[in-house]
Amino acid sequence: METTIDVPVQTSGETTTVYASDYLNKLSGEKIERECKRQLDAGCKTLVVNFAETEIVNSIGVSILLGVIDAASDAGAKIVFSDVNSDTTELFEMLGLTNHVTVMS
Amino acid sequence: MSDLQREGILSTVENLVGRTRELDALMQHAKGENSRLGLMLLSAPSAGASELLKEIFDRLFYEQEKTIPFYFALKKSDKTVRQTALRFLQSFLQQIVAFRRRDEKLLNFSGDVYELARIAVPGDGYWIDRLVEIYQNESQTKDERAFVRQALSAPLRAVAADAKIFVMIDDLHEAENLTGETDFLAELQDIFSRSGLIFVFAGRRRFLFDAMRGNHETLRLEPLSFSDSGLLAEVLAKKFSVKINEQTRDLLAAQMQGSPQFIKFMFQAASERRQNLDGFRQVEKIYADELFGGRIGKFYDDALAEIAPNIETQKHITGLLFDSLTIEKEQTPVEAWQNRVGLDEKNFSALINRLNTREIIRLSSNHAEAMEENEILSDYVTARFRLEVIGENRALVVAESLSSYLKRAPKMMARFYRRNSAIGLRELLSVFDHQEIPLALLDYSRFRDEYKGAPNDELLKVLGQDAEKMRLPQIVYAAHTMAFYPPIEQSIEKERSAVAVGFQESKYTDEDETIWIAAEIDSKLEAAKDLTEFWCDRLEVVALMCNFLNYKIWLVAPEGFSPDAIEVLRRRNAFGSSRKQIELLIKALDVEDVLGEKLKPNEYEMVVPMGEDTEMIAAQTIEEIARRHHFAPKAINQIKTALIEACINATEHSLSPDRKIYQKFTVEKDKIVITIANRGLRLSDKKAAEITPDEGRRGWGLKLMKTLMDEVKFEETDDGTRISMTKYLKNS
Repeated sequence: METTIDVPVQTSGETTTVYASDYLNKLSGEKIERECKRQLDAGCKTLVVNFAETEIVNSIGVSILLGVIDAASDAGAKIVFSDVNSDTTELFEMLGLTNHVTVMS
Repeated sequence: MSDLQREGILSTVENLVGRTRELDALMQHAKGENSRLGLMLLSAPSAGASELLKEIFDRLFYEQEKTIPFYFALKKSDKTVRQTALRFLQSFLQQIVAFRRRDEKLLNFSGDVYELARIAVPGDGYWIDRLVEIYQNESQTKDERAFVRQALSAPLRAVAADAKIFVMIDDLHEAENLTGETDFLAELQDIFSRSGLIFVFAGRRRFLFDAMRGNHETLRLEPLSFSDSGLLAEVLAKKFSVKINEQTRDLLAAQMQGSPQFIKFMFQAASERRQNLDGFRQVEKIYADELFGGRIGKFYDDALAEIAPNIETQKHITGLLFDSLTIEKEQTPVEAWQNRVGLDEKNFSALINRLNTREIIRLSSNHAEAMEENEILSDYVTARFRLEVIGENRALVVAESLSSYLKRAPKMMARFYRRNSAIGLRELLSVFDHQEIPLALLDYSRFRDEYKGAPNDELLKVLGQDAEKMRLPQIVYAAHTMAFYPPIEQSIEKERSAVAVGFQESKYTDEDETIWIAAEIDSKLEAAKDLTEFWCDRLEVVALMCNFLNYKIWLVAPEGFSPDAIEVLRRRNAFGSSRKQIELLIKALDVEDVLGEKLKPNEYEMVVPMGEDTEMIAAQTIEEIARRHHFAPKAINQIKTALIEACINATEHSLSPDRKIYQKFTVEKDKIVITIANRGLRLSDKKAAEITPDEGRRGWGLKLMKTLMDEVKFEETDDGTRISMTKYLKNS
């Protein structure tokens, strides 16, 4: 696993997994966003954002994730949110994210 | 002036402070949801009953069209029964027409009833014309009683015409001054008790209780609680732009003894003098001014002048009250008062009854005593006695009084703190009703050996399985020990000791009767043998002096009792409990609500700087608090997320000058309340562009807070915003 600017990343073929931190807020969200865009620019076709470590996501974090979803869509890549805990899944549902992305717990 | 002109002791907003329960009860009654048609609103003097009824009138007037509210208050200026009945009829017509025409300006209509009748809605024309006829014929009706009955029956005519009327008759105690051949109250009671109308009779509690009988609902309006008094002080401080702090707020709440009127007087006076109430010195200065020539002084001057117009009689009363407060300290036979006042039987009887209904004295079993617990009255009596009876120099009296009030203030607060920390033995004993409880809750020896140190969560459960049980007596009367044996006051504060009279098996025989004498004693460690012996002796003296035969002593010490002390308790056949056992007993009896005032909610406060993810520090803190209070993990996460959103909201939108977020977490029995406050821009200070979310992807904070919490309230403060969010334990 490589780490770029505090964000752990794992690549396997055309699939890249980006690991979110324990608290997804403006600062950590922007780091994720930048890394995701970097991976998409590099030709990644399946982007996985892994939330295994994430306990709390705030509303700014959610708005940044929406930007990541848009970027993936523009790049023609598939995006998956994986290892999302039940509370965060509920939050994503509440704010309509699950309409745009596959969420796996 | 109309009865409905809002010039009462409280303005509309303040009326609701601490009175939600009473307002709800009155609204419920107005809607006909009570089993009985009549309700007696028994009010302590200056507790704000009139304002409550006016609030009900307003709500019914503005918020619905089905029930017509009618409010009538007797006045001091009402001299005769006939004149009062006429005013009743006139007010009724005025209010009916105003309601039907949905025009509140008509409530202050100064024209005569003929003009009113002309503008009445056509559907009411017939019965309104009949009422106008009664009004018109008043001067020709020789039979006073017939006229009074016709006038007071006016609402019945409306009902006969299918109108739904809710009648509120206030200040009924003023009826005692009415002259005439007809008994106003008797007629009122006779007409309304058989009318099928929903009504409220309101007035001073001691007067109404004696004067009005019947099968009515009863609603008692007591002085405000300490916390509601504090809340009212905060509301008034804002209204009158008078600065207070937490210390002076509490002092005002304690010193004004729950009187909304006196609390308001203090703020009015401070505002007029352009002074703040942010120090004990300032509070006592305003208090002294109020007592020696302000509204509080005038309140009691007027009361005494009304009770006894003759100035010499007033002096005698002042002297008697002063003696009762300072020298006699106990009840004095009424005859002794009559001898001092020097009035004939009839006039004296009227005077002493008025003193009683005004709650200046307490009258019982032909004995009278000043209301010693009313310290404002005591201060007034002392000041007036020194100035008018002894004739002391005014400057000297004012200076000495102010000095004594200042010296008293910290003592008053200390007394309040001690009282507040007391368990409430009297209240606890009152709920004993043959419940079966583990013996270990009253037997410290057993508790210490078998349960002390066990985890809190498990204690009640384990205790419930304890085979050794005892049956509590059924208590029929409980009072502070001081009420039975006043000298005990020298050894213990009033609230820390109680006597309860009850029956072990409800056979109601002499053998079955049992008296519990309980005291809460101080000891940092387990109470020692000597201390326990001392208290057993003291309480046995109470039993001896009161002639209690079958009694039980119960001592409560914070940390329980030493082995030697336990032996003393055993020898005396007494119970001994620690504070922990009492907490468990309250839970076991499920009476936390009864003792609610004693069980204060847990409050936590913190201030965090804005930015740098500090909201996570707050979130971790609330997580720990919620976990301690058994909130489910899912609810904890929701609370944390809502809190984070509130913090983000404060940080992003406020342009806060101090960059701080003020947080308070209050945990009560069934809920957690989070209050987040910040200084800076308020929502109403912002331009529309500043509020609009960008691209629909922001501005979700509020939605999240509202979805994740059970209640969310936004409030604009003078210099910022406050968000209160509540999560209920039952929903988690």
